[in-house]
Amino acid sequence: AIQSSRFSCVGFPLAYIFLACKKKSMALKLKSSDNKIFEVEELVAVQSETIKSLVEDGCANNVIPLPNVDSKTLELVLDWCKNHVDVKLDEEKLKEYEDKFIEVDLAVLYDLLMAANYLNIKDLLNRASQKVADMLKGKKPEQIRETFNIVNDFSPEEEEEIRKENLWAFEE
Amino acid sequence: MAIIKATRRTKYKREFHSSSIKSLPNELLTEVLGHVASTSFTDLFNVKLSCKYFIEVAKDDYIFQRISLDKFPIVPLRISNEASSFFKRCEEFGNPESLFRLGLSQAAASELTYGLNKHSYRSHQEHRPKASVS
Repeated sequence: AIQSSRFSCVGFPLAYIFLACKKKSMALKLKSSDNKIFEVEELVAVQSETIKSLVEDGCANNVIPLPNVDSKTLELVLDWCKNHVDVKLDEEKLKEYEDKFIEVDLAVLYDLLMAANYLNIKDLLNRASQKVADMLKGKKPEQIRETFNIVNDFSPEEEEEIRKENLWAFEE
Repeated sequence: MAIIKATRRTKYKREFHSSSIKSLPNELLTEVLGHVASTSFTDLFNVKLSCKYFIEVAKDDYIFQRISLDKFPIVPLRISNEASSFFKRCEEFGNPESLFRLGLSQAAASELTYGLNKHSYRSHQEHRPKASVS
C-alpha cells in the first residue's frame, strides 16, 4: 500500500505534465487597459512574443494584464492573430484579409502600431507601418501635412536651407 | 463647406484623442520612415520637408541602412562632398544596395584586370610563329 501511494505521488505530477503538454491550445485570459477580459487560445495569443515569453516563464496561469492596450485595439489584434495561426492558409486569401484589416482610420492605425510594438507581433507591426508609409509616399510636403494634420514649423529660410543641402541629390 | 469642415474637426478631436503621427514613439516612426526610405529617396525627402521632427527621425542609422539608391546612377559622372558622405554612411550601416554597388565596382575592376591580362596573353600568342600549327 505504501509503495503504490508513493507511485501515485510520482505518477500524478508526471501525468499532469503530460496532459498539460498534450493539450497545447489552452485558453489564456488577457485583460485590456479598460479591464475587459479576453479568453483566447494559447496558440493564438503566443503570436505575440511578449505573451509567448510570459507563457514560457510560467507567468500565464492567471489573467495576463495588458495595461497598454485598450479593448477595442486588443479585439482587432486578436482577430489578426486568429487569422495568422495557420500560415499555410491560402496566401491570396490572407493577403485579402490583411488589406481589408488595415483599412482603418489613422487613429486606429496608430493604436495598432503601438499595440503591435508592445505585444511584439512582427508581421502586424510590419503591415501597419507599411500602411502609414504608403500614406506618406508620393505626396508633396503640403499634402503630407494635410493628411497627417501636421503644422509646418519651418520658416521659409529654413526650408530653403534644407533644399539647398539636398540639391546634390536632385540635379541631373 | 465650412460647416462640414467644422464637424469633421470635432469628430477628429473626439475620435483621435490627442494622438497624431508625432505622438508615436521614435522607434515606430523610424520603422515607418524606413518603409518610405526603402522605396524612394524623393518620398523620404518630401516627408522630411513636412516638419522638423521628421528630419530628426530620419537621421537614424536604420534609415541609411534601408534607403533606396534607385535614383542615383551606379557610376556618377561627378560626385559632390555631400553625396559622397551620404553614400559612405549608407555603406557603413550595411545598406544592401550600396554594398551591392561596392561589390559590383570591385568585380568590374577585377574583371578589367582579368580582361587586360587575357588580352595581353592572346596578343602574345598571336605574335608567336605559326609553326606549331600542323
